[in-house]
Amino acid sequence: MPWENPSNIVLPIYAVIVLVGIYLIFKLAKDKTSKVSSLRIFIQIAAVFAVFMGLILGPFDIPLFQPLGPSPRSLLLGGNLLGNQFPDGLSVPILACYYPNGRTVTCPIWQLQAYIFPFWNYTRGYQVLYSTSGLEKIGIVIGLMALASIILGRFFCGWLCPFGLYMDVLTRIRKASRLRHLHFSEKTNTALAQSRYIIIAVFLILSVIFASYAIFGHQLIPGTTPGGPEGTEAGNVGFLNEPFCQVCPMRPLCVFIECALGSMKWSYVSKIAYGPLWTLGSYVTSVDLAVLIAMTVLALAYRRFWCRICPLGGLTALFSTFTPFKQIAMTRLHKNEQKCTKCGVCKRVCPTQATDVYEKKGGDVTESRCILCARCVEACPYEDALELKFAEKTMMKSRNWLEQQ
Amino acid sequence: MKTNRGKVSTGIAIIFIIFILSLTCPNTQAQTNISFTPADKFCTPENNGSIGFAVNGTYSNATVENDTWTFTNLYLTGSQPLENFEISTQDSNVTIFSYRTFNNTAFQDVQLRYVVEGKGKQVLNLGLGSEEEGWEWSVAFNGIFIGEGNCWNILRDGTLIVTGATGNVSIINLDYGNSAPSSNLPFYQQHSVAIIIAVAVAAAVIVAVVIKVNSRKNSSESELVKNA
Repeated sequence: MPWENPSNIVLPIYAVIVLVGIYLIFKLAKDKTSKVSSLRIFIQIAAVFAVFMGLILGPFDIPLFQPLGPSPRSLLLGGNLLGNQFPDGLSVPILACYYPNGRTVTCPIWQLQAYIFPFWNYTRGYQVLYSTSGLEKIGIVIGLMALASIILGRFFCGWLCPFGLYMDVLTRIRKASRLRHLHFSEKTNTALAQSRYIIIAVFLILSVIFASYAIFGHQLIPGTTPGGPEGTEAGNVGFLNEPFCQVCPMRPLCVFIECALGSMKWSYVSKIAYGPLWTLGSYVTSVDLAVLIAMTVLALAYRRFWCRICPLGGLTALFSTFTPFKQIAMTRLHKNEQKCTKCGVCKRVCPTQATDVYEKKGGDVTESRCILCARCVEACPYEDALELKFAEKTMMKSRNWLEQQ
Repeated sequence: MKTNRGKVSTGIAIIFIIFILSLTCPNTQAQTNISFTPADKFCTPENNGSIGFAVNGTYSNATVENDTWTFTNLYLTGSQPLENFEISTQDSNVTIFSYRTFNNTAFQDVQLRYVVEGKGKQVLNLGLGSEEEGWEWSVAFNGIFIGEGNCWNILRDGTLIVTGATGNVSIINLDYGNSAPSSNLPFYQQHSVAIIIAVAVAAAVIVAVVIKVNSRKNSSESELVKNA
């Protein structure tokens, strides 16, 4: 019956809403300088719904009595998109955890850590639950990351990442409060950008160290053998298999968004957290909450603070803004040397303080810090001076909004 | 001609309605089913317990032996059929609300929900067979998941023993199946996802290179025209 498979109904309705929304923004937004921002915030919100609700609301006939509610892992449209060879969701370079979004898309950082560390089942020992090996799955994640990065690059960060939306909302709150944002020096900003790769390296090495008992047969540091409190599937080992996730600010935010959207119940969170807030757990813990609060405060002071140090953004940039990928990246920011007057607006409005757009003479000005948000294209007052290109076709270009006003 | 077309349309409409009805109506069962209502109780007097259902339903057979009730083809309204279900209660009254299964490509999710009055013991078997590799059981009392060994245990034959529960109880079985790679399958089937991703990446690279080369060619041509 069609209503038992809600994706048949939900997907077309959702697609129509998004297309109509985009059309209306283009049609109704008279002020061209705010058109891109409006479009971007609309697409960001649409992406949050797609990611966190998995585009599904069923099955619709679940009885009212359900102390836990339907498990988001088993009901979502994207669940097991690629079958049991790769059931953890498509690796898409946006911060969206594994559990909450029900395997529609999954954060590749989690996937990389999890595939280094085989699953531990409390009663059965180490096992990879799926039919592909960890190494092959790591290859699939890297392949998907490369594919996504070649096609869209850090467009994911600027337009689709839920945490990016959170950062933008904080910026809007700051603007509404009429507070000025702070700037990092160029040296500090560059250091922050480089720190992304140190963060990735540290946490992947930690994953190998914590998984040493499973990989090499002996533990490299004490306390990384299976065990833990009775009644948990993994004990402490289960928490160690994802070291970065323990400090990721998106994890508690994921839970809050899921609960706010109604696709996760707090009781389910209590199962995953395995105990009081101050102990290590899978979801909302004192550690990740502290990081979230710190990132929130910093984002109120510095625009898109997290995006400057995001290891996932760094990984996406690796596959799109560094040689040889830079040569073939399909989404890029292009500068027309003849049209640019070096007014510096692009540099001032850039939320991540990327400088190539201003300093480079012309041509491709995409750099690893650029999140392709097109804020510079929107703000540039010179006709065709800046263009956001996809597959060498101009998707957006700067307009002479000074004269138009 | 018009009349014939009308007849054909009517015929198609009737066939379509029958098809839709056949999809929506429950399958007619050959064997006689016995109906029950929430008022019916299945008692286990020696164990001082009883079993009831929160909704109307049917079963083809129900027997009691050693104070254990065995239901065959149990169907609760709004739930899915349960082929063989065994339950016994001790010092507690159980009201079963729902039984559901969710099938995914990677695992099967089976959920039974009931309410308990009295702090006793329930022994249940959902008829899933004996314990298999890839099974994961969870039991929740009033929405709180309880660790295995605290108030519940699973036996090798798939029998679940729950003790001390009061209020809402949820039993969840996740069956991931055998995790061993199916070596009987040909190579391309065993690694189809990896192959598809590799092909997609290669295709994206080729397309990107072609676009880049074409763009460079066009820009150099236009520059030549300008210079000329």
